[in-house]
Amino acid sequence: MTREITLSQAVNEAIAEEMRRDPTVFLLGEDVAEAGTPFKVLLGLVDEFGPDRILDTPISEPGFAGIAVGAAMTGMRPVVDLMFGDFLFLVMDQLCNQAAKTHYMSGGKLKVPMVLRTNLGATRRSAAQHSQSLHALVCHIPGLKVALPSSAYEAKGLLKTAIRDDNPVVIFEDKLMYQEKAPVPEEEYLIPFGVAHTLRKGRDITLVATSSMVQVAARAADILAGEGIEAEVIDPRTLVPFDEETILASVRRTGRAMVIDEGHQSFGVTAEIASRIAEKAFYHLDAPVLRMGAMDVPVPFSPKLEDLTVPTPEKVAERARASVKGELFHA
Amino acid sequence: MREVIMPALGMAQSTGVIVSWLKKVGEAVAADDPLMEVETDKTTMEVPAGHDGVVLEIRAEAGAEVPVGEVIALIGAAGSVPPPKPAAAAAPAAAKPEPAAVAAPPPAARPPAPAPAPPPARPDGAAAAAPAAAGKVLASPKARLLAAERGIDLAPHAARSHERPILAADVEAMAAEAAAAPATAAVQGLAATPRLASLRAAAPAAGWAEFLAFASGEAKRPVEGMAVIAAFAAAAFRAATGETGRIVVAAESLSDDGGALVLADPDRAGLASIADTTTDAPATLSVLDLTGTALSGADGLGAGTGPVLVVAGSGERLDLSLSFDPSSLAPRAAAALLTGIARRVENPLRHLL
Amino acid sequence: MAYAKRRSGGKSAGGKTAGANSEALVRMYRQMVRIRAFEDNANQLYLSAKMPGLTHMYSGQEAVAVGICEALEKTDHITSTHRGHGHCVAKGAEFKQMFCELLGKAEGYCRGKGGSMHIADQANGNLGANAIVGGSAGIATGAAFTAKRLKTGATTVCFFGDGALGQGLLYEVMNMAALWKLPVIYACENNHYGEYTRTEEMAAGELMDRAKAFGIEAFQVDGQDVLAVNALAQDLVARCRKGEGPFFVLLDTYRYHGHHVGDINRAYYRPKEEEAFWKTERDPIVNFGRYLAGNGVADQAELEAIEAEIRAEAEAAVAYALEAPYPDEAEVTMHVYAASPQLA
Repeated sequence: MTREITLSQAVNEAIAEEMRRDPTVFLLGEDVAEAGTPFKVLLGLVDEFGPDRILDTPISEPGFAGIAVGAAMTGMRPVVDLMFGDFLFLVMDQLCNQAAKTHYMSGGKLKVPMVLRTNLGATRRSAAQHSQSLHALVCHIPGLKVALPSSAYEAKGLLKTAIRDDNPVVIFEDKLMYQEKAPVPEEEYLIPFGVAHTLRKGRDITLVATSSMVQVAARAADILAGEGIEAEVIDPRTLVPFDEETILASVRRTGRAMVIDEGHQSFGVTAEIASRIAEKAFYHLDAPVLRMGAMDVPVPFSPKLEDLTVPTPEKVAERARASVKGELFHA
Repeated sequence: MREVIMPALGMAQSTGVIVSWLKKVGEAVAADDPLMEVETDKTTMEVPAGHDGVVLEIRAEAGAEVPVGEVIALIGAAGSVPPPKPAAAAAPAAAKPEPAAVAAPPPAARPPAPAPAPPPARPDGAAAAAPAAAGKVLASPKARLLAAERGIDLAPHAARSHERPILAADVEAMAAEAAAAPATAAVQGLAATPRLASLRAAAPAAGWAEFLAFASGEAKRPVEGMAVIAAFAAAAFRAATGETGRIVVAAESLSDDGGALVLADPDRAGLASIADTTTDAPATLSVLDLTGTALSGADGLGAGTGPVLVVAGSGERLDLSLSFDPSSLAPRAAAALLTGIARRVENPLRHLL
Repeated sequence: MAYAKRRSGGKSAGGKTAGANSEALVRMYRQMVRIRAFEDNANQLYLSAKMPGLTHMYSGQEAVAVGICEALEKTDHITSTHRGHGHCVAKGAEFKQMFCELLGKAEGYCRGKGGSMHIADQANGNLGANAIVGGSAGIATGAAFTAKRLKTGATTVCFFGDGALGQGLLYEVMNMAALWKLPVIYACENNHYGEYTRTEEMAAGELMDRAKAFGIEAFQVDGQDVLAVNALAQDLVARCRKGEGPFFVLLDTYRYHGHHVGDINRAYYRPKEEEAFWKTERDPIVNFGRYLAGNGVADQAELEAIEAEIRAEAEAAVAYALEAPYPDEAEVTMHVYAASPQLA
C-alpha cells in the first residue's frame, strides 16, 4: 500500500521505525523533544520513546556532535539533529577530524555508526547564515557518507539506510520540502546508498540534479519536452558513495550533460560531477558539460535578490536548450 | 581576404542582376561552391565563389543590378575583419574595368595582420569565443570520434565550425553524403558506354598566350597550356557535377613537341605545380590538345570512358568540343562543364588567383 | 593534597586495593617503569631518525596515567591525547604493537595508519589518542553516555592537558555530562605548559572553578604521587559506577622533555633549574621506588631487576618493530569505510 505523506512525516517515520527496531538508536539535538524541532519534523517521537532517547541538548553543536561520536564508538547509533546546515561549520572538528577518520586511524578497530541529519536550501528568506547548502564540504572528507533525499520517498528510505550504516552519514534534507507530499509505501523499505534514480528518460541531454534541484530539473525537462527536447533526469541520491556508472551510461547515450546543485557553483558538487563526466565520457560528448549551482555570493536576505541566486527551471531549460542546439559556448 | 566581383558573363555585358545569394554572411565556402545566381542576357547561372573561406560581407542585395567588376562580396578567413565598405560601392560603375586589373587584388584586401573580430553579443551573456586559429576545427569529442570511425576528414569544415561547432549529427550527415557520392561519380564519368553526344563552344582567347607567359614567370617554370586546361576542366567538372572526390584528367597534345599527362585533382594544385599531380589512376575525363597543330577537330579519341574535351585553334579563339555519354553525364551538366571551361579559358586569371 | 593522607589507606570502594596489596603496588611501579622505558626508546628512535613524524614524550607524568588506569577495569574507557603513549601503556597495551605503530608497521595497533598521535587500543578500552587539543572530550563524554544508557557500569576517563582548558568543546560537554549525570572523569594533567607557553599566561582564574561552575565535583591531586592519584581514582571510579559522576580532577605534574621531541632549546619558556628540580626531587618512579623499599614491599635489587627486565623487553620490541614489515600498499584504501552488517 502506498499513501502520500510529507517529507517531514517520512523522516519522522524512518526514525521511529529504526528506534523501535534497534534500542541503541537514539536522537539528540536542540529542541528535538517536545518542540519537535523548529520544522516540527520530530513531533511525537518523545511521547513514544521518552526523553532518554529523544534527547534535548543545550545549544552546543560541537558538544553534542562530539558526544554522538563517542557514543557511536562505544555501541550506540546516535542520530544527531543539526537544526540548520549552516551550523556544520560549528561541528567540523567533531565530524571531519574525529568521526570521519576514526575507523581509518584505528586501522579498522573502531567504528562510528552515527547519522547527522541537517538541511539545505535557500529562498526561505533566512539570509546568509540559515540558507546555505553546504554538502560539498562534507563530500570532500573521506570517511563520511553523504545522502541527499529529493522527496519524501527518498527521505525515508535513505534515512533508514543511514541509521543502519556503520559509518558516519550526513543526510541533508531540503528545508523547503518538509511539507511536500510524495507517495511512500506503508511497507518497510530501504534505499541503498550509491544507486542513482532515473526519474525520466530522454535522448537529448542528461540533467544530473541533487536534492532540491531534482524538482527544478524535472520541471525544466517539462519545459524542454514542450519544444521536442527530451531530457533525461537523474538523481544520484547519495553523493558519497556516488553512482558514477548510471550517469556515465546516460551521458554516453545523450552526448550532453548538465549538472544542477544548490551548493555554490565554484569548487563544489557540480564541478566534481562535471569533471567525472568530462574525464570518463569525453569521447561521447557532443557539447561541453554544463553546470548550474547557486551563485557565488552569500545568500542575500531580500527576496528580490535571493531568488536570483538559485537555479530555476527556466534557467536550466535555457542552458540545456542552447546545448542541444549546438550553441558554441566557450570556443 | 578576397573580393568577389560581378563577373562578365557575356561578351557585351555591362551589368548583372543578382538573382539570389546561395551563401550567407558567416557561411563557409569552397572556391567552386556556387555563391550566387546571376542573371544576364535573360539567362541565369550559378557563379562559383572563386575562393575558399568564409563569406565575410555581402555588398549587394539580391535583385540589385550591379556593374561588371564591382565588388559584391568579400571572402576571407573566419574572424578576419572586412575593410570599410567603399563609399561608391553602391553607385554604378562608369566603365568596365580590364579583366587583369579586376583580378589583381587591391592592396587593402591584404592587411598585414588581420585584427581579431570583436566578440559578437550572445543571448546568454556569456563571453563569446575568441576567434580560434584559422583552420582549427571546432568539433565535439563525439563528432570527432564518429568522424574518425567513418574516415571523414573534418578539416574542410574548419571555417564553418567557428560559427557552430561540428556535432555528431553533422558527421552523420557527412557520412550519408559521402556514401551517396561515389555511386553518382561512377554513373557520371566512368560508365563503359560509347560517347554519343557532343557540345561545342568557342572561347575568346586573346590573352591566352600572354597569360601562359605570365604564369610561367610567376611559377618560375614553364606552364603548359594543356596542363592549365586540364585544371580548368577538372574545376568545371567539379562545379558542374558536385563531385567532391578525386578527379583524374588524362591530357595529351598532338603537336610535334607535345606529350601526355595524367593528373589527379589538377584544379586543386597551384599554378606552378599542376604538372606535378601525375597519377596512374584511370581518367575521369580526358583532354585532347590540338593547339599548335593544323587540326581543327577530332572524334572517337580520348583516354578512358569519361567525357573527352578536344581543344583546337589558336590566337584569338580556342574551339572547344566535348563528347560525352548522355546516360552518364546529363546534357545540362555537360553544358555547364563546357561553359565552365570556356569561361575559364576566357578569363584565366580570375579563376587561378 | 587532600588525598595524600590516604596513600596508605586500606581498601577503596572500587574493589581493587592499593596500599594493602603489595602485588598491586609493584604492578604500579612496573607500569610506570614501562612507560619510562617506552618513551626513552621512542625518543632514541626519533632522534636517530628511525621514526617518522612527530611525537610527544610522556616521561615525568607516569604517575597520572598509572594511578588512574590502575583504578580502571579493562572494560572502562579512556580517551587520550597527542602525549598519549603513557595512557596507552597504562591501559594495558603491549610494547611490540605500540612500537610497530610508531614506526608505521602493519602489526601496529592501528596497522600503521594512526601513528604516535592516534594510537588506539580498542581491546583494552583505549578509544585513542587525539591530535586535536581537547578533541576527545566529546568522545569520552559520549562513551560515558553509552555506559549510562546501556547500563554497562563502565566509567570513562578523559585525559587532557592544561592546554585543552582553552577549548570550548570541553565546557560544552562538561555541561551536558553534568546535566545528564554521566560516568565520566575529566582528568586534567596540568604539566604547566601548553606547547611553549606557561599555563598562567593562557588560563585566567582558578582552573578548578571551571568545573565547579557546572556543579561538577572537582579535585586537585599531586600528579607525581601515584598512590595519591590511584586512591582518588579508585574513589571517583566507584562513585561513577554508582551514578554520582561526572568528576573533574586537576593533576599537578611535569613533562621532562619539550613539547615534542626536538623541542630542545626551551630555556626561553622553561628554566633549566625548574626541569632539574622536578627530575631530581619529584620523579614519580624514583620516589615511589623509595616508598616501596622503605615499606618493605620490594628491595632495591628487586626494583632494579624489574627495570632491567622491562628495558630488555622494550629493546627487543624496538628491534622487532624495526624489522617488521610495512603494510601492503593495498591497505591504503582499506578502512576508509566500515562494512555495515545491518545492510548486508
